[in-house]
Amino acid sequence: MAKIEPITGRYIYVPYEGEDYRVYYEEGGQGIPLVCLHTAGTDSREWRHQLCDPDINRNFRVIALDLPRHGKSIPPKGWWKEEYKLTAKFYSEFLMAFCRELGLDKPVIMGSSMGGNICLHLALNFANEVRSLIAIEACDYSPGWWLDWLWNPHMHGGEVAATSVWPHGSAKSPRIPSRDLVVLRARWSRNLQGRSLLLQR
Amino acid sequence: MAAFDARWMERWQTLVNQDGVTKIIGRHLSADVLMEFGDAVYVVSFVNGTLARVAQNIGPETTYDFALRGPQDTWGKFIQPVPPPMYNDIWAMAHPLHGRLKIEGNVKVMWQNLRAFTWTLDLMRNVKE
Repeated sequence: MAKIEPITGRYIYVPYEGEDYRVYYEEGGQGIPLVCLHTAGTDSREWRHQLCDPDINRNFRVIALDLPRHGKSIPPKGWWKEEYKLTAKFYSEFLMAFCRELGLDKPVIMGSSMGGNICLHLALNFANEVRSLIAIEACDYSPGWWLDWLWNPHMHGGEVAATSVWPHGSAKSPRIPSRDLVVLRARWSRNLQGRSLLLQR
Repeated sequence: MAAFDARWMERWQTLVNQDGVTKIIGRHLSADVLMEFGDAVYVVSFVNGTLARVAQNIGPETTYDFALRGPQDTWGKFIQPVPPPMYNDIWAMAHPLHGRLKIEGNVKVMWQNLRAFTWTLDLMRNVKE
């Protein structure tokens, strides 16, 4: 008997500001919709363990999407004509458009890091459309710094991004999932000018 | 032996060179790095991922590619098995908001080899005193 995880991946077209975005998402479980937001530069694979955890899946329909330009969600037409800068406005409004298109009834939204920060924007602007918010490692003010080396063609942007965030993991966290994250982040896409490392305010 | 003295550095060097991962991810890491742990200052030379030399007696004729400079107290926290917040990584320590570590020089070679270099620094936590 083959060992197959109970995760299903699909593509959905999400209309937003005159554009039809082809968005990839994965889901597992049944019940209350729980939408999971990945961290900067990565994709829905970060939630692979939550997507098929029986303790969670028993009561929740866990959904994890790839933001446009991330993972399997390709950029919009004409993406090469402008530098990509992810804004909190785009992220939060696009996310709610995704939830509406999927017909989710007041989802729980859980995000980590950049996704956690977005939860604060959702609390401010979309409180009536969400059931609850789980903001992981979120902060309401994070000046950060700009790692311009990530765009230097002499660098492997993915390796630099992966290494830069590797020590962010708690020393007490399980090591294998932590190292999985390095793999995800090493695929961080520099060639699409994916400047989502820092969320524009 | 105490942390960051010559014998401690020798043990760190041995750990780096015995580590199988460094040989894989660090094969393009060749650089002379000045490492300042307070009063203890060394130039450590990586050659294709091997930590070939640890030199003391830094003087006016000493050359190096880039430098990491911090007080011994900062490095002492960094090498703890579970470092205190903001001492977990050179980036946390060097962040402009904290300034516990200075990174200077031709940092391009460091960025190019960041994964391997960070890995070797992590191995400092495994040095037995």
